[in-house]
Amino acid sequence: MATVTLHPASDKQPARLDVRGDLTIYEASDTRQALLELLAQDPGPWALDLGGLDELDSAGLQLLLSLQKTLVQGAQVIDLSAQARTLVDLLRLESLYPAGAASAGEE
Amino acid sequence: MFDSDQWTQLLEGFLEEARDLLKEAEDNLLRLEQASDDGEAINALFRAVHTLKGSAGIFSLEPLVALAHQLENQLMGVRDGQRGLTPALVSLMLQCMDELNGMVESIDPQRGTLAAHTPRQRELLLALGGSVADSGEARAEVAEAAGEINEWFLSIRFDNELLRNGFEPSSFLRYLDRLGRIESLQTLAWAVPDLHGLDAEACYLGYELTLRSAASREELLDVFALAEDFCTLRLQQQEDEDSTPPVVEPPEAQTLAPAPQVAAPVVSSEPRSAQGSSMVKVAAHKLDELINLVGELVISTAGAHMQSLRSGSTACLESVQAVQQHVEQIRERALKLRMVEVGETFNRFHRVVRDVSQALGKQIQLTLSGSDTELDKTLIDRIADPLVHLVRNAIDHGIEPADERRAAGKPAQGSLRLNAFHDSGMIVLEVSDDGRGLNTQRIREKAIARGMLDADAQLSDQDIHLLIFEAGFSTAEAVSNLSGRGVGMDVVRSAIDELRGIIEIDSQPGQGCTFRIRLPLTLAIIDGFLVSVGDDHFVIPLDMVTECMEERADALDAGGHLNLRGKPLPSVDLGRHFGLRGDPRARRNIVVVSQGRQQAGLIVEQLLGELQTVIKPLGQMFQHLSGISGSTILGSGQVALILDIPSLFRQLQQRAESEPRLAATPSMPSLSGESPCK
Repeated sequence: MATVTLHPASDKQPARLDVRGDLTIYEASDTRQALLELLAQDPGPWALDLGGLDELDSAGLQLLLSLQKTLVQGAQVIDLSAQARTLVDLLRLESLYPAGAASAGEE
Repeated sequence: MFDSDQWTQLLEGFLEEARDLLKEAEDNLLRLEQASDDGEAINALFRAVHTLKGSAGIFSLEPLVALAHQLENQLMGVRDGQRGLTPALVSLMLQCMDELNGMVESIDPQRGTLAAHTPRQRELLLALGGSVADSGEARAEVAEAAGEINEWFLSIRFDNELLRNGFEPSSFLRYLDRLGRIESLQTLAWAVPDLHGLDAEACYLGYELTLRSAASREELLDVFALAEDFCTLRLQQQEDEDSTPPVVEPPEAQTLAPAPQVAAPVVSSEPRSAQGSSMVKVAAHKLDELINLVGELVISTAGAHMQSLRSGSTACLESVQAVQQHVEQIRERALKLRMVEVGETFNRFHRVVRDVSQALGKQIQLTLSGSDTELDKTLIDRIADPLVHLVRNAIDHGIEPADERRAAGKPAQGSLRLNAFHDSGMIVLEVSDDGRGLNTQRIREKAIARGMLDADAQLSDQDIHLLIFEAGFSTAEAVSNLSGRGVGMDVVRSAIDELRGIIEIDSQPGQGCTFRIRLPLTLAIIDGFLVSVGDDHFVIPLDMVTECMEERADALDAGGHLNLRGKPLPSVDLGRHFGLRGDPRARRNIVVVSQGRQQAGLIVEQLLGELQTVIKPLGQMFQHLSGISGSTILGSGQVALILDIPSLFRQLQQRAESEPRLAATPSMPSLSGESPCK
């Protein structure tokens, strides 16, 4: 299953959620539980580091969208792995693009 | 899938769109040159070129795609700040747009072919900084688009159970992507609940997408065949390039994008933002049909009104009056549909002025005012070319070179002004410059040299100025490629005459010159003044009527002049002019009509008053008739002819000129009806 680790917030940086491994229909339910536990500790804002994602499918993606919706305060994606990127590109899901990269493309 | 007629129609639709896009692109480019930080302009410019490229691809118009592609690349560089927008680059881009325009105009809608000037295009491509081979990329895009491409709109909603049954929604998209090109896609995620309410194995997603593909409906449906129990599918073939998919987007969808800087609005959202305004494009002929029908309706209500009056039934009369009121309103609205703001046409003069002033090495500041003045679309289209002539003429002849201007104590930069406003039921368009003004003496000499004027003819300055509108008149010493060939000005005059308009010149030597065009607001309806001779009815455009009076016996002299308050008034006896048998005992009236500064009298029998009438063009058989510009049908069902006053004026002028003996004597009135010296 995917490992989700929350690095606590430092003085100016929001808490960083590190998601590694596969995030597919097989892992979705357990990962949701893990995330809910983390949410109980820190309600956000979080920065989502998806650079370590190996496999991502629609169920995993849905989970990430749901997480973003829950973290109303903010859930900026700061990194995205190449594997995950293909799916995000295909679905044109702007909200899952890394914040830095998106704004760089705009300059 | 399309027969050739449909194809031609599609292609014509594209041509229309392409012209609009290129115009939009050009406007925005010029706007951008004025204010280089105008982010909206650069995006609009980029979108226009991008859309043009895409649409041209569908029709396999390769040279067009290749050039548009390069242009787009350059624009991308400018937008992303990698390239500055230098005047040279603007000129180059304008050249490209001209070339694109040329290609668009050369497209044969029957065959879908296009004539490209290969060497020139190659040059432009090189100048744009792309190697020629680079356009291969664009060509690949086109090749993909070969065959019969349709645009499909797909709306897909998945069942909650989809994932649990082993389907992966994105695999459908991958498959669709292979069948064609996904033009736009929106993943509908608004149904995804927050983490607490989420069932991680249920599916909450949906897609709405447009797909350009050669695949048939069956092939597309086949993609979803296996999962058909788990999704709701709506498949629609886009009839019209312009219509955008009806995206169902509940407000929650927005909350999904938590970081504002994540939104990348430029290209991905293009299909909607490009056509963001809620406009409906309607073919002009459909509008004409509607207006024609409304015209018929006006006529038949007038008939019904008469009948109800005759029947004497108050109830009937009342309801007819209500109908009449509504018909009036409908007519007004229908006519307004044709009205467009003159600004769109005005804006193109930035380009004209830029080009002409560069070619002549003059600095010119163009000021536009009254851009929101509304005018009939047909009129605008037909007045645009004459206006271009006037503007070029003003820059070429009117505004002096910089050193001459400085010597005359004027700012080195010339000023040109375009102005539009409404004035008593007419629209007035003015082209004014602050140049040297018309050289009355030289025009006069030239006219005499060309035999247009008697050496000793007495003409007011105004009348002399109007001579520049005669065919074959040109006073420029050097014939430039801009003006001076003596074809421009008489074309201007005849175009304006055709539109029932008039042109006046106000020229102050050394101060500048103003050309003032007066046009009727619309060509479809006029306020008329109804008169009759015997049983024949005539309509005179009301805004030309200055006064009416009773004719005194034998007031008309042998030369065809009436005495109007001591001044001779050239006159026409309508009955005699059209060979009608009037009632010899009837009292006769004179209608004084004016056109600009000219006046003339029309002798008629009865004055029947004002009416608003719908102009019906004369049939083919009667088109050569002079003196009549159209017809209309009265409430009684009778036909009334609409008098063509400008052509009557010309006939009077010819009559005056055919009596040169009289023309030379000072007592002979000029048509202006004003004293020659002022």
